This record gives sequence, structure tokens and C-alpha cells, in this order.
Amino acid sequence: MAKNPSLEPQSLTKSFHEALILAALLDGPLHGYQLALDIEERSAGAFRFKHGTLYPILHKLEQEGRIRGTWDPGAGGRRRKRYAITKQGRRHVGELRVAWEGFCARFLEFLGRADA
Amino acid sequence: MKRLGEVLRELEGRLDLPQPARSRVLLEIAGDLEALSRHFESRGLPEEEALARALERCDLSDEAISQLVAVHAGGYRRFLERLSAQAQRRWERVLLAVVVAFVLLGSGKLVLTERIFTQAGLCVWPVLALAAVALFTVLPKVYGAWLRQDHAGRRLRRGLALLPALAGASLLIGVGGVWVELYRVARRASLVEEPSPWFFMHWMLASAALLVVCLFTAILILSAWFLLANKIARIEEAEAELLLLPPIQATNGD
Repeated sequence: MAKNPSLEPQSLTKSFHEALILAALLDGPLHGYQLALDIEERSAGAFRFKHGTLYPILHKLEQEGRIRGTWDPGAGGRRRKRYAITKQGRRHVGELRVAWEGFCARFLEFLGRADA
Repeated sequence: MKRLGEVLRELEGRLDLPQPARSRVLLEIAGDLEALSRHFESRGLPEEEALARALERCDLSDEAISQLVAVHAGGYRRFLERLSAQAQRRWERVLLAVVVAFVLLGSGKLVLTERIFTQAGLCVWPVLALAAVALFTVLPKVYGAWLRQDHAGRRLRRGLALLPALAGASLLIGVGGVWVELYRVARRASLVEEPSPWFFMHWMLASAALLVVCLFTAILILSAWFLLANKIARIEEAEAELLLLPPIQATNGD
């Protein structure tokens, strides 16, 4: 079984992006551009992705086996790549969630102490 | 859609990736840009503005490109992709075919005899198992790519990187088998008072037979991999080239 990912300050952005992408795919497969739009809409504009940032993360997740890309025939004959979450990816979302909960709790506790 | 073509041409120049990975990335980005542009058009923006908005959202900065290149820079994958797209010219392919045919004809008759398998010893069985795995991997792809003309790159690519690994394993078994046979012969020789030179003759014979079978298997597997990888690379490159053509030529097809 994979161990829970630890959140280091240097890897926060990477882990944050991975969590958003994997969580967005939990509801079903999406194309790259749909993913970015979906994340933006579901977070009411709080999390906005530039697509350029999205591709390296998607390709890395695909190489790690956490998502699987398939080519769909698109409108006008051009194929589009659609991503679906794998079992391994689902497990990873759970691990990320635990890691982020712990991290946020400690962070808020720290901020609270600074407030007092 | 001229501007999209220009963007893709510019992007192609910045993507320091071997083929066919470069074509795959281009195809994915082109599909997404078009779809995103249509999404903005459906919200009432004129075509030009919709594409401009899509490009702005895409933001393929140098940092994003270098991250993308880094993701695809895995040693084994990069090596295979560089190698698989090498023989692009007709004379290179003919030369390759001549070399492979020479090796296969030269050793094929020998390998297909029953005698070589009995001489090669026990290590020949794992090599035959590897050959069977390779055959089950290659046959559906050959059927898909050449007979059914199924050009779904992903399906054809699946498991393709396994083939060079199988060929490598076959060679390793061959080299390992030589030492295993040497140990067995030496052990048998140590049990008799005056070992006959036949023991070592037997070792040389078994080793040579095993190495011939292993090399033959590896060459066959690598040739199949090379042909398939080239076919897939050509399919993907043709698709990407179509993207980079001016719109009128692109609609005429190739």
C-alpha cells in the first residue's frame, strides 16, 4: 500500500494541482480544456488553471498510472484526448485529502496562535 | 483558423521532444484549443476573439513547455522514441530489411531444427516463453495497423515498450544460460576422476545453441517492434503535419 504523501512547502503547488485534477475526474472522464473549466466553475472562480500548466501535470499523472488518457474522435474529425481516473488515482485522492486535512489544520492552528 | 496553425507551428519549434511524442502533444493541444475556442464562440464571442481568448487561457509559457518536455524526458521512453522514428527514408528501411532478412535466413533454418532446442538446454524454455509473449503482443497490433487499418495510436502503442524489454531479457537469459551451463558441466566433471574433454565440448555446443536461439528471438522481436513503432510514428506525424498545413490544404487532406 502506498504511504500518505507528506506535504512539504516546496511541493505544495504540485500536490494542490494534482488534488484538483484528480478530484475533478472523480465525476467522470474529461478533456483537458474541460478539466480547467470544470475546476474553475466548481470552485466559483477561486481555482483558475492556465491550460499550459495543466498539460505537464496531466502527462505526469498519466505516466504514474493515476489517470488514463484515451483519444476520442472529436467534431471535424480531429481527435481529442480525454482523461479518466484510475483505481490508483482514486486511492491517491484519498491520500491527498488526508494529507491536506492535516496540513490545513496545522496551518490554521498556527495562524490562530499568531492572532492571539 | 490560420492563427491556430501559426500558433501550432510556433509551438512545434519550441517543443524539444523526439517524435512521435511531439506530434502527440501537438495533437492534444490543437484539439483542446479548438474545443476551447468553440466553447467561447458558444458564449457569443466572434470567432477571432474566441480563439484569442482560448490562446490566452492556454498560456503556453516557456516554463510550461520546459515542464512538459521534462515530463517526457524519461530515459528509456526517450531512447525508444528517438530510435523508433529513425528509419524515415526509404533506403534506410530497405537496408534494415536486408540486414534482418540476412540474419533470419542465415540462422532461421538452424533455429527451426529440433536438435538445437535439445542442445540448448533448459534455459531455452524461458526464451520461448518470452517469444510467445512477444507474439501475443505483436499479432493484434499488426492486424490492427495493417489489415484493419485501425489508426488509434493509443491502442497500437499500448505494450509496445514491452517488446525491446523482452528482447533484452532474451539476450540476458542467453548470457546467463552460458554460465549456468558452464556450472553444470563443471560440477559433472568434478564428480569423475579424469574428466573427458567431451564435457567442455558439450558446454560449448549448448552455449552456442542457446546464444543462437536467444539472438534470433531478440532480433525477431526487435524487428517487429521497430516496424510497429515506425508505423505508429508515421500515423501520428501525418496527423500533426496536417494540423500545420495552411487551412485550404488541410481540408483537401493528404
